[in-house]
Amino acid sequence: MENYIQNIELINQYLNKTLSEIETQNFENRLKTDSSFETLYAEHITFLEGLKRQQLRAVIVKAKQSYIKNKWFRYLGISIAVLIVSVFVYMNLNNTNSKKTDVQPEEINKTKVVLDSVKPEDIFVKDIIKVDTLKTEKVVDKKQGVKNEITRQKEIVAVKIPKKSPQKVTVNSQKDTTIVCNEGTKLNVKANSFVNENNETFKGKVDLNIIEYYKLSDMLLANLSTQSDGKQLETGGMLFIEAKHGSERLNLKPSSTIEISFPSKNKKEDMQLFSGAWQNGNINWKPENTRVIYDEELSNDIEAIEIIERDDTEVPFAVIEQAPIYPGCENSSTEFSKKCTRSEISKFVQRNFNTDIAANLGLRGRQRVNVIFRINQNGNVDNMQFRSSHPDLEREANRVIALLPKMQPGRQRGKAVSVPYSLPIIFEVEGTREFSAKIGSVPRVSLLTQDSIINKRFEDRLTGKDSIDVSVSEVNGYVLRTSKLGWINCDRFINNSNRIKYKLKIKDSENVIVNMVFKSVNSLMPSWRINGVYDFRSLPKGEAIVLVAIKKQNGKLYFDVVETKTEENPNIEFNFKEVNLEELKNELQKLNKQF
Amino acid sequence: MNDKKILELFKEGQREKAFRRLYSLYPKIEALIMSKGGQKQDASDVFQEALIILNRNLEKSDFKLTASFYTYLYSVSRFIWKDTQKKFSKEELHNFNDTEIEHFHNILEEKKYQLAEHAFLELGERCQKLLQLFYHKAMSFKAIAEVMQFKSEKIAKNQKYKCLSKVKDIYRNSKTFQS
Repeated sequence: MENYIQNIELINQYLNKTLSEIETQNFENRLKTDSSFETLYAEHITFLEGLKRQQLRAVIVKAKQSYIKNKWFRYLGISIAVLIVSVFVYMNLNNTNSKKTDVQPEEINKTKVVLDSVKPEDIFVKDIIKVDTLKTEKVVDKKQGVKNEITRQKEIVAVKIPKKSPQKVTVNSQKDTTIVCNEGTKLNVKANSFVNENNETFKGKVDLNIIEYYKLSDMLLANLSTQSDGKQLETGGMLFIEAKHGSERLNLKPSSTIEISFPSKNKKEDMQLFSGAWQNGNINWKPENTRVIYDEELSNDIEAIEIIERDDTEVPFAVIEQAPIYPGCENSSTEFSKKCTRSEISKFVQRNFNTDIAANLGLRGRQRVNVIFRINQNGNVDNMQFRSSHPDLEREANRVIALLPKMQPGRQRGKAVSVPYSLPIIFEVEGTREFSAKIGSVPRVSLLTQDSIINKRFEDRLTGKDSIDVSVSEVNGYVLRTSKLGWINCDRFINNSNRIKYKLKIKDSENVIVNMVFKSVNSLMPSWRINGVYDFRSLPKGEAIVLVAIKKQNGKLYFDVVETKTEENPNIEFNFKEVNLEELKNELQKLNKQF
Repeated sequence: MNDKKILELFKEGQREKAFRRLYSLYPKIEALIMSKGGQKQDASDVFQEALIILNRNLEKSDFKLTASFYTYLYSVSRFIWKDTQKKFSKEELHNFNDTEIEHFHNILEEKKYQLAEHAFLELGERCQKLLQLFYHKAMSFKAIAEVMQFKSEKIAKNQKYKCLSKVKDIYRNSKTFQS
């Protein structure tokens, strides 16, 4: 034992390097010669290494823990940062928009009064043939960087679903204006069509706030639906329009109308305008009496007649070096694109010109509308002038020409210039005086392609077919007129003989809103909740539908959709999932395909 | 890049910091072990072992890291796992290249130390503490006697040798038991 202790002590000293040089040498020699000593040494080293492992392991475990802690701190930090940013953004948006609430219900009441005061005499105002010069401004909306959201004032529950932001357009009330909105809606506002609250003609800047509802998700978020007194409608798009000057609300003059063109890929017949009013949380649409109203004061405005701006160079279409190019007519050969543009414009007018107007006016025989317009340096159509036997035809021509797409502007010596373009529209109205009984027969439109400005002869083949049936399905939008602002819907009634009552019972139905999306038609039906039963009233049987349920409780949003068919006594249970606003929007956008 | 920093940390003796950085490689090693049929706990053990081997090698003056830490730890971990599974065939053992032989030696060496460690852990608490104080903290017997409340320096010294011979006995026994 004594010996052992001595040896271990010696080894420790050696390892700690406290031995003198001679002693060290002796030690090493002994390792080589004394095998039992060597074993002892090796054993001791092994022991020390084992001990070291123990220590090292403790360090590693500590390192691992701090690594994991760091990782979680990082995740935590990131999520907290994200949370703070989103809360901040959300609160900001809420602030900016809280002012814009509680406008709409009053608005609708007001517009109702306006409609009632439309005088029937207005319809028969005598009109002289006149040159109707329109100065058209295209107002391109600046998309607002921050998505504005308005809270809906209807909801008593704490959750606020942000409303779609309105597009703001400022127009001069003394000028004719065409507005093209983000989602394709075109508004044609005539000069001097606004009155203030005291029914005086308003002159000055008018702020138009327009909200477009074409997407299902937008409609669902605004809790919009398509029904008129319980009858199902199919929609071609909804709008909310309000006109303001500062805080003063403006209305349309009883005799004035706004022309609205709703874009649409598949045109359906019998579309008409409906105006909406909110009742018990659902919107009810009532058909507007679409009336033809003349505008007496149109040409009174001197400013509007100003035709040409001074610094505007004009080069007629027939002689221009590089003619304006209609979309799709881009070609290396200028001659080709010129021909193409000409024929495309002709085709477009042929397709869109509604000759029923002439028939409905009782006009018979060959009708002619002379149109002169200008394709300006931006490629937009302006300075339209019309001459025809009836102002309604001029109006229709105006409508069609205003619908022309933006073209590439014409160029002379490389510089964009304005190009005057003349286009006589000639068509024949067939049939007898009892025409109104035969709505099915479509008059033919033909265009005389003659550039009347420089009297150049055109090749006949440019006209393509000299007559084309105006086919309803080809028209790329619905054009309707309204004398009301507020909620506007372009709709038609859906008639279906096989109808059933559809009532849905839901457990836990507190604060739940259920809407029904139809897969086959653009229709969205609301439900009326009575004692926990959701009544959809009468619906066509066997339709594929999607039920969209949104629940708001304790400041949280829950959402679920169920795909099903309309059948009697449905048995459906919603499996609500909690969502945040962004998730709800995404979920609803997924449904957009259904429309 | 990162490897250089870790090496510097090792040189400066800041092992904990170095290991913490190396743990960012752990998920990949875990995936490797789990793909070879191991559990999370196995992966954690293997990685720890690999870090110990790395640390030991770094302390050797003649060791040079030829690859990145990731490559090194990956191959060592793979070796350790294969070794614990006893999956080396004779053919494989014969066809090892230089680095593989080195890994293999490292593992064998480490196994020996592992045994010593186990032996140490089988000691009583007081023995463990006494040895740790003496060898890790390099405390004098006098100080140890004070901390551990031995009556005298000599008793502490005697106690230490008793513990030491005990641990060596355990080690020897387990070694013969293993072989």
